[in-house]
Amino acid sequence: MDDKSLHDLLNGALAGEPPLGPVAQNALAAGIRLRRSRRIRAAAAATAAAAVIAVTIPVGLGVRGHLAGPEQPPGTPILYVGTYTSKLHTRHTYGGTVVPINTATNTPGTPIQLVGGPNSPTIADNVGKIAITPNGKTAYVTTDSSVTPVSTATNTPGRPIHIAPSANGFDYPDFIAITPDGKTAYVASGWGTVTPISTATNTPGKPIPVGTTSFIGTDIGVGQIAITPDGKTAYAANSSSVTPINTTTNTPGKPIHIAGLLQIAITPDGKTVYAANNVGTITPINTTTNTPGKPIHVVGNFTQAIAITP
Amino acid sequence: MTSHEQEFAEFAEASAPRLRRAAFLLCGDWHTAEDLAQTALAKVFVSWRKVRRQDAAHAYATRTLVNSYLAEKRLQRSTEIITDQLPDCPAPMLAPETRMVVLDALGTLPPRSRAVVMLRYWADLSVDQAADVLGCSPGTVKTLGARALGKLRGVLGDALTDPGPPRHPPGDRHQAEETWHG
Repeated sequence: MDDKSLHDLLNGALAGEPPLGPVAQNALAAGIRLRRSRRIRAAAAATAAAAVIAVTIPVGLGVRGHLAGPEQPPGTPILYVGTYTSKLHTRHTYGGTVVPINTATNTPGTPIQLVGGPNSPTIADNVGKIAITPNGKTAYVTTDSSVTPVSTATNTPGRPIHIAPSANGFDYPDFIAITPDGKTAYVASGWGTVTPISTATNTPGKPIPVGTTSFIGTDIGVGQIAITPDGKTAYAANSSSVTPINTTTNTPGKPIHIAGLLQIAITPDGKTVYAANNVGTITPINTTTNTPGKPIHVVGNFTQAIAITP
Repeated sequence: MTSHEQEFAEFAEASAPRLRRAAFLLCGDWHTAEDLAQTALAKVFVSWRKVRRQDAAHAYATRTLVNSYLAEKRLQRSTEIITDQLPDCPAPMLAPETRMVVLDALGTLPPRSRAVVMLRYWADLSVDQAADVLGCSPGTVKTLGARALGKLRGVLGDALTDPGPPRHPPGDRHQAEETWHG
């Protein structure tokens, strides 16, 4: 012992180091959120007269009741705002909530506290996306470790649904899309799978593998899901491919490779999926054959936002 | 994933183990260490465009890690009771016991002194580099380091008869000033 340097003693104190969790992945996700929240705060600070530090930031939106239909509940549409209070900003309260806003008066209601997975059973980490069923009765909210159905009639959360749990208890559900018939919600996970959830029973089906999931490669997970108007196919996009999923059998088709894929959009007739990427082109995909057409060259390197008129 | 994100992901993957070890020496708890490493890396990502241009990502990550740790200690002074009265320490002969003794000894140090020990004697930074990370003068680093070594020597006893000079890059002009004699 006598001749051991402090350096060696310090190194010795590191003995029994447990395996490293997905620090890099989590840091990237947290960094993206942090950057986004700082941008929002910076924008808010630029427009606000008073110097107020907002610690609760809206991160997801959904409006109930914007679709007319026989099951349309009476009453004013409610705007649901997913908020996340980061523990990087305050150590007292943090986590994900959903705030209902009455769109007639634009007044926020009581925040609905969400709970997460086994690692955060009392508080949800982050709010990813919100999707509302076509009948307007349920808002599905994704957090880092759960999908929570919220009843829009009572604004109460249901039991959290856990999909594809990973070793660290976080399944990272993010993008969520609901079929036009409202029967199935498709949830993308950070581990490169898409899980169908039956909205009747709120139970998850078997995760559907899509594309590849190597972190250091090009894919971190499924970033977007778009469902054709006829509800027969869900297109799941990650950063290098689009995978068609047959919604009847919940089986994936062959991934269609699109380098640097950023966003997809489906035409109202459901015949074409347009895929935008980070190499300055838009690729049309024929939904009958699921084959990519000739890329359309546009100005710019990052063709990252696309939308189609109805 | 954009090219920035991918570049950061590769950096994060490569530096996460070392950052977590550094954080462990600061906080003494692997879970907190992982949180600290993750928090530091998340903050690095926010400034990624700046730091990767300067090729200073690793130094920036270390600085962010130490600052996150110090900020946390400022907020949570009560979570860890700092005492110089240690429970009975067995003779540090076996590795697991030595580990506990060293950790307990580190636990008696104030946060900034602990950071100096980690930076100087584990991360092998020079006095100037450590001062840069901590945002203080080289003189403060030397003072904090000397006090920390004095305290560690008191607690570790003969386990630390001679800490020796830390491993320096060749030509470190502070090497001569740093050997501490108790």
